[in-house]
Amino acid sequence: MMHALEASPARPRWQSILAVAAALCLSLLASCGRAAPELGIEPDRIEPWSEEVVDELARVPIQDNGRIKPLSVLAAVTLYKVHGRRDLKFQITKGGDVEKTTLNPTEWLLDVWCYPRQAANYPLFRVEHSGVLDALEVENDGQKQGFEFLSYSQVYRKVDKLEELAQSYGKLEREKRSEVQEHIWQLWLRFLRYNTLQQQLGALASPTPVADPGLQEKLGGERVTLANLVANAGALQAAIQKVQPDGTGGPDGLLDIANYMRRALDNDRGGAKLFAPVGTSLEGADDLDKITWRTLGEASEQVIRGQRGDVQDAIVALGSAVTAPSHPDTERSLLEFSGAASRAAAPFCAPDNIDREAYYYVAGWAYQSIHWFLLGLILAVFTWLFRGSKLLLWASFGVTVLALGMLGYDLVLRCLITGRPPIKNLYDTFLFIAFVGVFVLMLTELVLPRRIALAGAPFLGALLVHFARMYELSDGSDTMDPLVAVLDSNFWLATHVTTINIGYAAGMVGALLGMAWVVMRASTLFHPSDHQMKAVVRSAYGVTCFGLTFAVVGTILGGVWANDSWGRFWGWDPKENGALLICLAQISLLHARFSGLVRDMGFMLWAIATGIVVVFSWFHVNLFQTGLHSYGFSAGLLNAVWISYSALFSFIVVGAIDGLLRPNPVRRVAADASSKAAEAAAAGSS
Amino acid sequence: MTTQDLDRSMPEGALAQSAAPDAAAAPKQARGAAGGRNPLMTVLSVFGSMKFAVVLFLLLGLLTWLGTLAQIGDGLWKTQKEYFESWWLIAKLPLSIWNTPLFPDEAGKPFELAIPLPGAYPVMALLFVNLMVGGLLRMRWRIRNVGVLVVHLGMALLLVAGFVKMEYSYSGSLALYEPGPGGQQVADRQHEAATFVSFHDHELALLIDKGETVVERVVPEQTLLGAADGTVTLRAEGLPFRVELRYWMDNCRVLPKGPMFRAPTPVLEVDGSQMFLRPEKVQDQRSSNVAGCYATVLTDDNERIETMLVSSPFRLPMDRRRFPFAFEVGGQRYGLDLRRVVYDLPFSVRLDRFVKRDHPGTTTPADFRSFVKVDDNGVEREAQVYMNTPLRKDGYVVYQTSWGPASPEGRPLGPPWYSVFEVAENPSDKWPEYACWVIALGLLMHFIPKLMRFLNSSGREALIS
Repeated sequence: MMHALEASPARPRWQSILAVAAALCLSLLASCGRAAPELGIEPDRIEPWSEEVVDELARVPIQDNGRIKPLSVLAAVTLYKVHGRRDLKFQITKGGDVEKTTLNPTEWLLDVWCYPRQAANYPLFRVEHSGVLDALEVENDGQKQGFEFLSYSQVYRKVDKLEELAQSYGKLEREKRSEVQEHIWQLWLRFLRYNTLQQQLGALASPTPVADPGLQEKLGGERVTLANLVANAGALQAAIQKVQPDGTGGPDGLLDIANYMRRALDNDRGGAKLFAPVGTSLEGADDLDKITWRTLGEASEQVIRGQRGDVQDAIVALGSAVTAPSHPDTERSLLEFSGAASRAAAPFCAPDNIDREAYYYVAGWAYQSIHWFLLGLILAVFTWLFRGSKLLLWASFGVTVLALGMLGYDLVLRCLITGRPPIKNLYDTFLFIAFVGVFVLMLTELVLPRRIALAGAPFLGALLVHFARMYELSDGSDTMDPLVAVLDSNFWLATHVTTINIGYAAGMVGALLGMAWVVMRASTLFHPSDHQMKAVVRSAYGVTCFGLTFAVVGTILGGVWANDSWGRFWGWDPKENGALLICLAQISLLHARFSGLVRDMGFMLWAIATGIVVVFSWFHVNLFQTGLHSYGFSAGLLNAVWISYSALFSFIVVGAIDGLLRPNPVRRVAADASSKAAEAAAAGSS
Repeated sequence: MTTQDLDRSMPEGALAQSAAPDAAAAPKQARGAAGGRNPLMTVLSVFGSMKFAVVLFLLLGLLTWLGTLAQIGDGLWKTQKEYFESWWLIAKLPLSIWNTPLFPDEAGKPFELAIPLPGAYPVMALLFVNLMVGGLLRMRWRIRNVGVLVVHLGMALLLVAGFVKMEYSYSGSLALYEPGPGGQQVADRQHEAATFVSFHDHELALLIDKGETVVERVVPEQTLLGAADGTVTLRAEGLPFRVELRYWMDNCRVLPKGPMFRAPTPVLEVDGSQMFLRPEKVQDQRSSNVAGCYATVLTDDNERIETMLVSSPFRLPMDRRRFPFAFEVGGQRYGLDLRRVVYDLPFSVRLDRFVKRDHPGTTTPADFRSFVKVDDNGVEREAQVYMNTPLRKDGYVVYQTSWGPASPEGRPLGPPWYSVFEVAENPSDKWPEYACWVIALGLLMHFIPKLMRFLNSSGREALIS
């Protein structure tokens, strides 16, 4: 008998709103496709990388930033940092043909190592301020809007100027740098980062002359690379052993080779450790993560000192790949390298876990979930229009649950890869809060099926996962990096961190429901005493109770943890204060409701205000750079915080104005009549 | 069903039931006031009301928020004193929107709104009263409210724990060196200790040399502070002299008197040089303050011995030796030692080994760990103290806090290493943990049945029909 309600005049209005929204979405989507920058040189690599090579190389275990991870993650994190995107796009125009290319991080890394000239011309460094171009005396159109990409070789031509400027700005405190100065400083850091990556295999491609003809024969030529030395390690070792204690006896030019080795060692000291520490005793090592791996230089040294086998093969193969005359040869050598390097690494890492992590980045379940959340949202909005369709309702519910499952699987994979509870850093909180928020909203939808939480859930999910991805890019660091000593406690990460973040999630959900309520009331489509409105209030009440439980327990547990690590339960540290503020917001909200201080309107506006408090404690306090808890920083993040404040606050303002202008809205006659008709029909049918 | 009927079955109806205690209190209060029977009950009903609780929550929230913002400029310690351990304060709110200062002054600093507020101490005390009166005593003791009562009990326990911690807990530092290679100990270094030293409180010890042993008599800082703008006379019973203290300084420096300036304090000859104590700005980081004062020993034979006393900066384990001011009266040797308060431990701690481990190939710390031996009256046992895992014994808690030696940039300069522990005596150490479980239990006892009732209620039916 619900069909009678649909006869209300509200329906045409809904449709016009939807039409406008759809048009907006389409125009947004249309504006996303844009032209890729031109490469500008004749490419060295004409054929694309074969899938097999990319897949195999992606899964080579390496150690970087204190953690063993697949090579693809090193590539991805470096690309995020220097390029600010997840892939690299360029196009080559020949005659009238435009050939567009998109490289994934592993393909890009292979180009950097095997085709350095081509990679140096890729549109890589994103410059977001024309002042940077002016300062480096690069031609530009002076537009402050938008951004431009500079290639490595373009920056390299201005490197003296860049270094001089960066050195002077780097000495300033961060707050004292102007916007342009900060951009220049960041460009310098990104340039250095790329340089480190590019140089890593430098010794394999840059040869040194060999003076002694005998030695030339043994080492494979008049000019030899590090790969030649490693390949002929036996001969080199024998030559070294001939050297007498007084320095005589060895072949001519051995000293030059020794100097070359020293340079090779220095060359990639700061880079990723590409080779497993074969020969290191595994006995007594309770944790593989505690053993330090070796850079190319260090591994080569070990081979020349007498170590043979997979590491030697891997270095030689990598050398061939870098100097190979043709692309198929390069690919063949890379496959040899990945095989040998993986065999050498097997005892020093958990190969399953490396594969799992490589898969994690390829599959991108969190990213996939965004699409399904959006589909769930669209379906949910359609269920408002076609109220009778059970199929649509179940489809919307099912799709959102599916997306939630994907997000959950993403979180499970992260836990398995790191061997830790779901939250270790600020990035994780996005995914976790998205998961909990969607879960809670779906629960409220089950308890009070009014199709508002049904739309709110996928909206929140898509939004937060999208934020997570933006944060990952802007931060540009590995989101699974190992933890500092004080956070290294799975017990506390699983208890305090998880509970407090469930509290955050519930706070956000409450705010979302409050915003929905404000919109519903202000749109005049609903009367505050309508079922739908009352159900939203009731849901927000339930969510607040739920959130309060976790926020209070989480906050106190945080104190108990602090008592165990710093010797005080409570220190009025910003992050602690933030947690306390959320508890206070929710406690006061409930007490204000119980004592009759506020009714529906006050309750819902207070719930939105609680959302502001959540943003403050979840993010803003991390940007203070004070206190023991500050572990995340990104300049763009502060903007995002203020955008969130403004958005939430504007809903409070709208709600308050609406409440002041129409304290007791009159029920619209048509809707009233139709609901009366519905009641009459219901009475008749029963 | 009419609109009115609907409204009656709304959640507000359900909420009004929970509000029953307060609603019931209101008429009582009205009657009490009208009849003028019991003014105490009137006061109690105000202090115990839920609305008053909301006001207190909001006040505490405002304080916490402003106190958090204030830390950006003022640092943690100062803000803590000003906002959270005071009776009242004038909070400053720098007005800025989107990181842009509003009404900036010449230096570009935003206009600061001054807001007078009660400090966290009285707010929490009132909250405790409110909780006891409204949340426990005057609450209806019904099965339905058991959960709420339990939560309020847990909250009360938490507030009491905070009070006990603030009033009765003390803490200090204990720094120990690990033995050198081969296990040898170095005379100047502290390898083992059964005492710990306060971070910032001072005391004056009178040492009496008894040959084999030294007897100490200790004067607390509270007494010494009187010498800041006057004279404090200390007279020990049975001793042939008294000590007068003047010019107490919370932070000071010993400086040689030059010919070109006048010293603000008396100039004394110390080891052949003309020296005086210059007061310095008191540091926010109180452990870096060096207290000092002038002392005059007046013997019963009217002999005057004048000196200056200076506490040491925070003690590290390499300078365990102290040089108290020594003097002789009637053939007996005495000493005066101005120092950071020394607390006794009922057991001794010895550092065997300190291990610092970074994540491989980085400078990100992965683990700090001290391997210690605890000697409790001859019974020795081994223990490890590391991050998140303190050593708890006899009511004392020993935490890993720092390590050295390191260069000013933090580059490690060991081994051998020393390890710095914080030692705290806190009677309410574990209370917050208990409170946490009590509160969690209470919340579950309250909310789960409530949800169950709602799921089966006609109110829910009405909302989803």
